Amino acid sequence: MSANSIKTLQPLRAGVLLIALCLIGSVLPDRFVHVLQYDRAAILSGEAWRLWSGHFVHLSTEHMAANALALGLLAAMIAAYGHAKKLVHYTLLGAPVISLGLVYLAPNMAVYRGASGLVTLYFVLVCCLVWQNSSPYLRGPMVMLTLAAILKLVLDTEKTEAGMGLITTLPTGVQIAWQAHLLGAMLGLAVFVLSKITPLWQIACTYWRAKAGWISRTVIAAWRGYREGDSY
Amino acid sequence: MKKWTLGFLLLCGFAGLSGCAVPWHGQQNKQTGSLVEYLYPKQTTPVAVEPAAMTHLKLPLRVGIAFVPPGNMGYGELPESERLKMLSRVKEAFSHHPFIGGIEVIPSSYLKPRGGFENLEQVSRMFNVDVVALLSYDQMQFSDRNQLSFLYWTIIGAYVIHGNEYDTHTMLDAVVFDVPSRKLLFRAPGTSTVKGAASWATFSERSRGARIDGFNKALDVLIPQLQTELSAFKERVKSDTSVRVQHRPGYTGGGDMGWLGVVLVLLLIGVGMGHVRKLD
Repeated sequence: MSANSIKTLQPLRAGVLLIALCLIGSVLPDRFVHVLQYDRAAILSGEAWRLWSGHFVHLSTEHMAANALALGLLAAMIAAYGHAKKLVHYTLLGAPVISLGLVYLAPNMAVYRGASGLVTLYFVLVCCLVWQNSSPYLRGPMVMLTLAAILKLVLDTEKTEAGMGLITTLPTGVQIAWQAHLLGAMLGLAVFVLSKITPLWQIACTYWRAKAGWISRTVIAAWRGYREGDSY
Repeated sequence: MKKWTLGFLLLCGFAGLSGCAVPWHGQQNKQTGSLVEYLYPKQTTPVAVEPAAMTHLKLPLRVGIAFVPPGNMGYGELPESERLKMLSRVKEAFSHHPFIGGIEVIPSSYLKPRGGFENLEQVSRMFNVDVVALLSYDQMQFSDRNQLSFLYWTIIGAYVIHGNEYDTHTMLDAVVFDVPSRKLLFRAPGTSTVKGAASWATFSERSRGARIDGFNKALDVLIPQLQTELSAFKERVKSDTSVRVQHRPGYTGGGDMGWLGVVLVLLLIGVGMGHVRKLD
């Protein structure tokens, strides 16, 4: 296999892998999904895997289909820009940061499922990559797209749980976790900006590779300690 | 003299044996639990129409289900154990909905006959529910003897011949109320007819079974109807300005891009793809 064909296959693999993860999450029996979903109380009691797995289980087939399609396409796009390896790091780092952000920003949300936080992270990254590399005549459509995305985020903050066709695919009674979208967007922007400051980015990447597991455990332990001291 | 005495005794014996075959007029057995009688016991004039009050539905909903207290305490009233079994079936059919946080089965003893909304509010506070589904019912059982009942005079016939017939008509009606605003959210009916025959000796047991069977069959019809009405209500809520949906602590959140999000992603990919090709 030539180097060129490997380069062509990488985006495809990245997209298919993430779509497959979402598909697996949707065909699992309910009792497994309950173990994998973001569950605030369970996370605070130490079930750390939910910080990652909650993003790959969904509430309905339609919900999964929309998220998986968006996630797969954006992942393929990031890989096409030559960041296939970084994509793994973005996912491994982004998922728990979004989940921990939800623990803080949405204390009333007991359960969360869905990949839209990661989708927003990828969306912002792709926007930045296209913006960085595009010619000036593409900047107009990019600005329009960014404005449309911001408008969508604002619409998500409204009470759209009753289902408004294009806006949500969630079952009735489930509220859109707009906080996940906000966190994903902020994280995407932060990752891109950090990657521009090369030395800082390199230090962050090196440290992350060496201490990824330790960082996750420490953050959870610190959070649990804070919660126990604060309210329990 | 002996002939006359023997004849008289034979006549008495025949009359005694055929006593159960004398013409028997049909019986009716009615049991009702009327919603109007329970909720508006003292209402002699029609309820005045008031401007629609705002209904706040807090999701996930906490729902209570109960039978309306019986209007008559007559023979053949549905046993409480059967009521609880039927309510459990309704609970099972609706507990999978994500917007329903919990369903409480409320035993009949907690509802006071002719208790009105005051009683319903007490019960909803006691069971910590906001929405109550009340099952009202109306059942009529007709019992008659058919021509075979003539053979009851043989005594054995009373045990083997199915000379008694019953005909049971049941109507169940589930009405879902938002208790704080006293607003009827939606309703669904279920009806059934159970017919059968039994011998004189087993009639009481069989007809009692048919009454319970009638309720269960009406419930089989009611549950899908209630699901349909619930789906219609979910659609109606979107445009009904008098109903406001809120979330209570402990709600379920979904990370959802929606198809609008997918369209945005496709547009971004469209813009980006042209650029990637140029890079290649």
